[in-house]
Amino acid sequence: MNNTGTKTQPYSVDAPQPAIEMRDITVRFGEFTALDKLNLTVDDGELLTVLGPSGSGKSTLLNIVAGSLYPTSGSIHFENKNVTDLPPHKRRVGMVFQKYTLFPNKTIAENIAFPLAIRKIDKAELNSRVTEAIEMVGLKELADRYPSQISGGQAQRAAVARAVVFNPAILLMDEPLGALDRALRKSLQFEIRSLQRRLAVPTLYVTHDQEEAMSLSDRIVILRDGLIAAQGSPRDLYENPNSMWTATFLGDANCFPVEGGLEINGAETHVRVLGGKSVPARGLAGNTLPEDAVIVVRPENCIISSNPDTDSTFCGATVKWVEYLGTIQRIRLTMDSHEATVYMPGRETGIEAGEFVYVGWKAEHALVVPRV
Amino acid sequence: MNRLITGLYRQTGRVVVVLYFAFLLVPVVIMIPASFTANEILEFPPQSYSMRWYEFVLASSEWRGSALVSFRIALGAMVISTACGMFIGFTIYRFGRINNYLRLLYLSPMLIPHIVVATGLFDLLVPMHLLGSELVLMVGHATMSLPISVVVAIAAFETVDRTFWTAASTLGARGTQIVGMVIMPIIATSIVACLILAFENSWHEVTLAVFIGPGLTPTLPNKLFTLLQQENSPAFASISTMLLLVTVVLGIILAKISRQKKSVKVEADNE
Repeated sequence: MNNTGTKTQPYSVDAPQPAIEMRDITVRFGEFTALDKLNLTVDDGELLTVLGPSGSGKSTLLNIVAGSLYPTSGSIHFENKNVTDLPPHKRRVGMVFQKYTLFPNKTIAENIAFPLAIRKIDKAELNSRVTEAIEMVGLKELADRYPSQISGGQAQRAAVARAVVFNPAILLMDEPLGALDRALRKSLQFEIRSLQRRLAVPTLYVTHDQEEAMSLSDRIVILRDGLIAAQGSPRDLYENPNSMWTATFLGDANCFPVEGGLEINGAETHVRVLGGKSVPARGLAGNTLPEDAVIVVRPENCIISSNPDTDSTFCGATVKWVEYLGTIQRIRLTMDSHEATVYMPGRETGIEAGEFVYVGWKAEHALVVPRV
Repeated sequence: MNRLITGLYRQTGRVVVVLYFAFLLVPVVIMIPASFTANEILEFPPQSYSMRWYEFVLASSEWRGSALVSFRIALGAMVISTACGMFIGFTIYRFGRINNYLRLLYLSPMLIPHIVVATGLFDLLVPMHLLGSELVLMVGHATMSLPISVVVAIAAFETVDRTFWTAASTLGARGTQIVGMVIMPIIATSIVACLILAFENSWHEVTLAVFIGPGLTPTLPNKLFTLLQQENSPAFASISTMLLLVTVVLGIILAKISRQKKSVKVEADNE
């Protein structure tokens, strides 16, 4: 979907094999189309995050892969085997939920042993694999506790161990950190990431938290109204969004409608924004303006100064207020009746509310994209 | 003024509670000593004490036969009622809320007077030559305790998170394995509670037993009822005391179970 910009290096140097492949998956609930001809692959060892606002079809997608929901049309393949009609218990899917789903009447060790016991795995091997899994998630001391006797973070670690102990074809994670507090979420994020790297299990991770998606993923797929709005590596998606919607969904962005006036001077392209001002921009495929175009500039890429400069600070703006946040300060501005935000390093001083300032950006930081 | 009213309420409440328990317990308090009389007639307080009426009842093949019939019927009713209740609870757990009319249907045994059911069944069973069948009474009792079983079952399944099912099935468990290995252990105490309540319900049921129950060897409550109409034997008090003993034992088990459940909950909340 993403047709602009550069591709960044993927997680693996070898050409990856698709572990999971969804072909033209459509899911309808009566009149409502939850997923519309979705094509998606998860490569071997890849951590793919499905990101989207609520109601975008994230959960539907997860249920399709898990097998608790069957698609209206389309097919799904695990390691080149069609599993579309297989029930969940025949699919080898490890799943971690937002809620704690450890079985309350079983100890942590018994919970982790459950998928192996179901498969009637030899006692000695079962024990060694359970021990290995428990040590892997650092719960050795708590193996004989019951789920009600451990904390939420520990419960999610045990749930991850239970989901991977039987070598599933894919690991599904449905907002596994959603119920935890912020500090715990951070540390568990890191743990999940390193565990997933170590096991190299293809993982489909669903979340609505952009920051979590950015920090965890090899690749992000953004769902919107049952369609893939954009996909790519976190850096690619952030730096080269394919639309204004994607740009504003993934982080903060200043968006100025393009008012025409395409000028090409050698390598430099200029467009007119903000009441006819000619500004540098990039991303014009075939040097033609898309219909209903906007330029997107990330707040941290804006240059702000008290003095005008034709090369770097070329737009006048009024500072509405300055929010000091430590590492950065968020400066809110009005530019020709448009709202804009600029991030400035926290250590710098000199910009005050009410002041008239000049703002600009480098050509490579202003991307021309369609609105939708 | 407000405090006066609250005080008044509290006093009235106390009086009502005391009266209620007096009403409930006085017959019991009278019954137990009376059952130990050495005399031929029921008296309170007894002039002299003995175990002769217990010996009489326990030695009597008629009473033992009735006890056996009651026990058999209660056992069957207990199993049928609990199974049906759990099935309904499970259906709601898996497939969501039940239709309002259906709900009214399974709660209806609680609303329809037993006497209406009993007379209706009587008219139905006579031409079918099924009057006095133990099996029919068993099913009848099971039906009567179904509302209790369903209510207990629904409450039990509410403690089982819906995602447990998805979790277990992705971990490789078939439906039967999920029920057997995940759900049953979680709701085990509720199943026991359900069994006890259904057993107890059949064990002391009179109306259906009198109208459509076995005649030759009637159930215990039926036989007691008949006996009461004819004579005033202390045997009646000793049987009642023994019945009471069964109820108390079952009640203690129930209380133990609910305490256990609560302590598990408290542990979880402390976390």
